[in-house]
Amino acid sequence: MARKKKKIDTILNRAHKLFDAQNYLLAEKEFEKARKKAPSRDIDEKLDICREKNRSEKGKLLVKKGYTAIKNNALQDAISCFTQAQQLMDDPGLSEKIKELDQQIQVGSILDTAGNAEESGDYVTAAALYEQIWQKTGQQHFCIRSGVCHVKAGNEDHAIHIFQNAKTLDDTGCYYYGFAMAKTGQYPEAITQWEKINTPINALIPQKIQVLSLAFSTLYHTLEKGTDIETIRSRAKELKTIARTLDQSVLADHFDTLYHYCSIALLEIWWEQEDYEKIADLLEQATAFNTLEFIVLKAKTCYHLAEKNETFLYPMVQSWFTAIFYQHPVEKYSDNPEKQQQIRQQLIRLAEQRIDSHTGSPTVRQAAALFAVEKKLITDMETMYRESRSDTPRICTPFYAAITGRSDEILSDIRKNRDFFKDPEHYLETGGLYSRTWESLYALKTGDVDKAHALIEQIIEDNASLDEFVEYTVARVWLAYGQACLERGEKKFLPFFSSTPALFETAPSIEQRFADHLDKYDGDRLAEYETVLKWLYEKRPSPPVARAFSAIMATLAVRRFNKNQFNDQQLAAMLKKALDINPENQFARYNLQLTLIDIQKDDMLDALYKNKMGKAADIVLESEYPEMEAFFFSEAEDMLDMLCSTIPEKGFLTIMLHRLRDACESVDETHYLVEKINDKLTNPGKGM
Amino acid sequence: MNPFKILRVTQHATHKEIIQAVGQAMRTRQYSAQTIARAQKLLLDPASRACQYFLHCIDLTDIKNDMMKDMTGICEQIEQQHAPRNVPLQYLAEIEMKNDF
Repeated sequence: MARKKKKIDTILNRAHKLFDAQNYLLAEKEFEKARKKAPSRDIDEKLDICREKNRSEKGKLLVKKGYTAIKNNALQDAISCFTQAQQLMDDPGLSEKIKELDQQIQVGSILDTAGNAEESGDYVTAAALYEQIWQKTGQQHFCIRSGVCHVKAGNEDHAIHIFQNAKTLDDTGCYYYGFAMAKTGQYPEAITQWEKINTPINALIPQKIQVLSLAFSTLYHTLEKGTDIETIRSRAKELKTIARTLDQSVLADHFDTLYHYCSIALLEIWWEQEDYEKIADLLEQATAFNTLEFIVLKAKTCYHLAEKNETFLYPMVQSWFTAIFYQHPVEKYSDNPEKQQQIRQQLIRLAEQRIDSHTGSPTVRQAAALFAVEKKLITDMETMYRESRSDTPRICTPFYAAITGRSDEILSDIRKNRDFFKDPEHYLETGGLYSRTWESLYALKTGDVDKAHALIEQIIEDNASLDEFVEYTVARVWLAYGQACLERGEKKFLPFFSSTPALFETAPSIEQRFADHLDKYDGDRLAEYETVLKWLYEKRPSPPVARAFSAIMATLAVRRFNKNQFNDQQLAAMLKKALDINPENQFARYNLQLTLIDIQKDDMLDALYKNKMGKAADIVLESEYPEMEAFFFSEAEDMLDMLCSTIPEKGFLTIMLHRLRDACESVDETHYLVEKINDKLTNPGKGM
Repeated sequence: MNPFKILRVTQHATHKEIIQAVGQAMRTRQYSAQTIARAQKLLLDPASRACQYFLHCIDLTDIKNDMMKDMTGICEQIEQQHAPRNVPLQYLAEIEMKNDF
């Protein structure tokens, strides 16, 4: 019995050792032996653990074997391994793997069949099989393959359906999708698809051009039906760009026409809806809208927008006179020129009222200035043509003249009617407004000197010949720009006055205004203006320039004197110079007189207090200013008091009093001071 | 204010039609009597009406017709030159890429 027990203990010990060493396979065998000899709960439990562990190990081995089979492309063996493993272990991934492998086996088979079908030209079968694979696997390239085969089989509609369901398309997919669309008459859409092809394919270009042409036809017929104009417009724009990239300029122009037509149709719709902002935006977008009809439309659109938004006033004015002087609305309502004129006048008033309805911000002021320029210009042109009894009056704004190429004809008419204009400035300015430099002159007249100058510089850079009107504008702009630079404190202002002498010679009215302005000028730039006028005076010593130069010189001299930068002598010298230039400069004359009096007073006082009383009297006697005498006696009386109170020595005082009396006598022997001094001399004790 | 819209008349409306429209507008009361009277005044005076026409009416029909005529010609030409019945569309097999399945 003891031996038997010993044997079981040995088995159990071994079994436990194996169990602890995780050798469950041998441990299971030992525990089974032990249980046969002496069954117990503990052994059963240990056996359960060993069996469970061993199943799991076996399963793992089978999974490993399965993957090796996959590597060796033995998919069926792999499925067998995974199926066995699934029975041994609880792994949900295994059933998925089995399913996948199963599908792979099936797909492989279908793929082979599909490939064979495609090779043999049975595209219908191939397409169906590829579609089947795609549905099984969800892989996009089978979808594309199916679509391609459908196209090859001539089933474009089905192909389109397939391609529509594809999540992504490669170049092949894009081509066949586009081709299927082209075959079913969806030309614009076909082009859109082909545009997605990344690789450049030369063979595609002729086909693209053909389909692009047909796309025009499609869009045109869609337009005829009158539906969805915005989509047609956007397609036309897109296809125009594509045509350009294909160097198909004629085709691009066709699309442009289509695009433009749609734009016009939209303008009509938006006009009906009173959506003026959209209209204004669209009109700004293309130069194609620079024709008369659209200028008219722009004028009235901006008129409506300007009711609430002052920024539309300027564009309104820009097109207003062109709009009302052409076609609209007068010809529609009356053949009578007087009635036409009446309507125009009403429309001018309406625009004026619109401008006046806003407060005078810079924007409003600029619009108002432009309106004034155009109104005067148009009125002048009307009068000129009426007075010349022209058969072909060309009354239009410079803007319209420029865009329609009428400027030269109008300039010729202006030259022919030179006598109509009141002076050279009027003539040159009217011509300038229709010349190449019209935009610059407009900018100048509406207060934008910098813009005027920038535009003039462009014209000069063009190196084109300058006619009298252009020369006039250049000189006007330079004069204004020079003044602006000067006023801004910029250093290089003088070169901008280089054409001013010629301008003044040609248009003296400008010179007159310039002189008037500087005659009253009291700003901070006197020295700079003096520099300009000095130069101008050297070049053109005309009376207005002399007047301005003299005025600025005198004002500057007085200002310098007041700032203690000049003494009396320097001031007098400058004022004399100013008077030499313009003897009628009353300001200089008056100030010179005051200065000279001051100088004489100083000289006289100097002599008086140096006891050179005779000299002091001589200064008074030689002076042309009567006030010197009163000043002399006032100072002499002060001196008498001073002498009497400060000189104690009688003999010396008597000498001094004699001198003073003699000086006073020589100036005016009847003056009461003479008697007063004599009185002091005869009654020395009195008050001395 | 757009007197044509207020009175719901076309730009070609006669005096009689305008007066009838005034009565109708008064009855519907969409606008005040003052506004309706002002619209009537603007449309009955020829010069004012011309101005109102200028401000509120556009006519781009001629431009559109001209363009449509041009496009019709272009379209006919294209259809003659490029229609599939004349130039059949053939797929370009060389475009097909090789796919690794």
